[in-house]
Amino acid sequence: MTEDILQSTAKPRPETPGNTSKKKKVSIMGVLFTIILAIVLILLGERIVFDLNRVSNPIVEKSVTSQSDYSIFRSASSLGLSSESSGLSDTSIYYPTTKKGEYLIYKLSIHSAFIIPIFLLTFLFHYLFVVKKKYPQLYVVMYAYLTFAFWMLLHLLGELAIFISNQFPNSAIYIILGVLVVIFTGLAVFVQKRIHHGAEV
Amino acid sequence: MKKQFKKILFLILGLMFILPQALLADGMIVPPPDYWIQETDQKAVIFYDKGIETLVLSITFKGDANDFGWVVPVPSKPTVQKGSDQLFTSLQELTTYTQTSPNPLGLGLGAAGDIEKEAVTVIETKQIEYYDVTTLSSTDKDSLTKWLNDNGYNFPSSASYILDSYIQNNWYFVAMKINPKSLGWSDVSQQLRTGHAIPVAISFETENIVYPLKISSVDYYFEEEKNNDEFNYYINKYDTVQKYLSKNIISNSLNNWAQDYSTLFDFFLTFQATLTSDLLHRNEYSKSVASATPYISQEKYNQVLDEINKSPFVAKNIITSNNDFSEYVHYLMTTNWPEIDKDREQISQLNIQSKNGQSITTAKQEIALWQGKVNQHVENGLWVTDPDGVSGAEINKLAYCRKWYPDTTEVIMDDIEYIEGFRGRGNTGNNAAEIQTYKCYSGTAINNTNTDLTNSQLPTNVNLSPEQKIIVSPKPSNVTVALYVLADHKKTLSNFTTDWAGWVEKEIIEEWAQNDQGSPWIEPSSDKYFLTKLSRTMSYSEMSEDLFLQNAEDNNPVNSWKEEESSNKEIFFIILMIISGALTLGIAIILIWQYGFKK
Repeated sequence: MTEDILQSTAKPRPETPGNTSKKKKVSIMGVLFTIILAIVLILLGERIVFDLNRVSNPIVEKSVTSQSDYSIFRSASSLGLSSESSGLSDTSIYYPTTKKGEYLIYKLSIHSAFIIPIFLLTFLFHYLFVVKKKYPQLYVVMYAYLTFAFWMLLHLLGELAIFISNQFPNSAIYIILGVLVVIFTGLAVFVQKRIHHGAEV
Repeated sequence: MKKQFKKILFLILGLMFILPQALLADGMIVPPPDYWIQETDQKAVIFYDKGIETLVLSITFKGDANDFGWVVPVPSKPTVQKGSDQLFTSLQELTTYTQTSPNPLGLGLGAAGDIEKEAVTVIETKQIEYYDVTTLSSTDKDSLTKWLNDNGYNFPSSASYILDSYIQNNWYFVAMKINPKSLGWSDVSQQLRTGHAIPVAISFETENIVYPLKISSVDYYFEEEKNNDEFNYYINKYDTVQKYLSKNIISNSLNNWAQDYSTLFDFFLTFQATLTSDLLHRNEYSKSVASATPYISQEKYNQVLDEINKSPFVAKNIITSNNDFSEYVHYLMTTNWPEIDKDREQISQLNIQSKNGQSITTAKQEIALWQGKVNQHVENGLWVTDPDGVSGAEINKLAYCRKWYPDTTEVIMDDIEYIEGFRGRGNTGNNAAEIQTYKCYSGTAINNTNTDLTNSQLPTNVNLSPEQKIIVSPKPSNVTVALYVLADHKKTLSNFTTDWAGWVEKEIIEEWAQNDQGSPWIEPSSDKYFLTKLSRTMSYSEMSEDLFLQNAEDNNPVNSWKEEESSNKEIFFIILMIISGALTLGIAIILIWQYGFKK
């Protein structure tokens, strides 16, 4: 295949002043609201995944809202139930301790059913609004949704790691080391890329 | 829904208590002569599996008896074994009810060898913990009644017709009583004193789940016999029946009550009779010994008991114009402090007048004692500290009342008040707390003598025998019956309330019913059972029939953990997965199209 000398040696076309000013046209208030939006979205997402698990996990035996009733906890204990609660809800869910593995599988599936489509949808919107710049006014907002999507994805990955370590205790060390490998690899590549980019400039 | 009848049950008889005269709804408890027993409530667990019912009975009681007998009729030849308190505890926790359950104890005692007598056949005798258990069959009610009475079960002859109904249906009888040898064991007597005994499980074959309730109505006849014999009854202003018992019962009663309620031993008997249209003649007889602390030692208790037995009754005759007492007021201070205090409070506030019209109860006269602090009393309506700076809570209350109110004749426990200004020795410091206060009752008795009771001192319209009589706490007219039924279907009983209903797994039942070796003494054959808790408060007269439990119309849970069927959640889960999968697939296609093909 012949090399396109013109393309490989050509310097990047200077951006027009108009383009440059358009990219940086982000108001401080816009950024502030985006941060707040990201926090709200994360809280909303966390509550949604908790409630989805509560209402659709077949292993869950009881949802208790009135936690002031001490007898409920005593009953749960006598029945061999474990509980799970959320800081965003005054409801606790109870499931048989002996079925914890099964419960976690269902929970993981339910959370995945919400988080994966949300992540992909956000990625699609990001592509449309940020990369393709079809709607420039949504440029800032999309970062809030992206933050939310990545948060939920990390949430899911964390649950996956907990599940694996719960089911296969010996695998925990592989998970931790694997995560560290990914993190340091990414950091190394990122730093090197910055240096490389600086040298070119 | 499957209709499989499988089950055998466990019948657990939780027995309890002390002696003689109370009958249980799930059987009949009889005390020895000159003692009494009150059933306060009863619980039973019924486990029905493959045609075998296991009935586990538990009752709570109070009384002054040290032992008791117990008779339970069953429709077929039973096997009897020890039950466990854990079963009741777990069930109560599950259904959010509370219960205190002493630990069962283990004793191996000698056999109670019985032989066939007349129309009574002794099928089996055995010992279970501290019970002597005898399984009987009979062909004649009189013979069975005689056998029971000959063997210390104190069965009222007027109720023998109830036995006849069981005999005609070829039922068996499980008779249990406390082995006298075991009463020497302090832990056994302590357990019985708390009003609880080790549950016993009785298993027998039956086509339908039955709860033998009818024999419990024997208690009603038992009371009647006593009433006609040596007991007298009066209805007090609270419409509760109070009994007059012989003097020795006082000691027996105290012997048991004192273990748990040892603050103040006070026997107080009052009669009132109308003299004229506006004057009442009040005769009051009392014995009172105070104990400084609520937890009395055995040694101190013996001293108190001895003192009470030796001391004479104090008689007061008071003429009053107050007509609040429409009936006789008479009571013995026992365990029921709040109610007794209510009585006494009312008395203390009476505007009692002597014959000449002089008022003998006037301004607020109270003292408050705080251990480690200087006492306070009321002056001109205000709490003030004792200026001597040293009088403390250990002082005799009556003497202390008289220090400020010389006319005081009686000290009565009053309300708990928040009082400030309590000082330490030398009236230093300043403390405030909620403190028990005492009323200093001032009365000018027309005739105040120390003497034993005599008929001449009693109102003529009170029919008492020459023997001194005293009142014990009223026997409850109603008993709460709670049944926990474990079967293959939800159960129901007419006029009973379903407090709880839901499925319980086999593993949980096995965990609840473990013997001393940690092995389950109930062996469920199915994976899960439907637990139904049924309860009803009923009088003895209403216990006229045995209870046959029926299947409920549905298996809907009541107050159960499993509110919704898991199948609903499974459907929701599947729908969620389908929607999520479709969304994921759709978005992925769009992304690929945007990134890939479009590019």
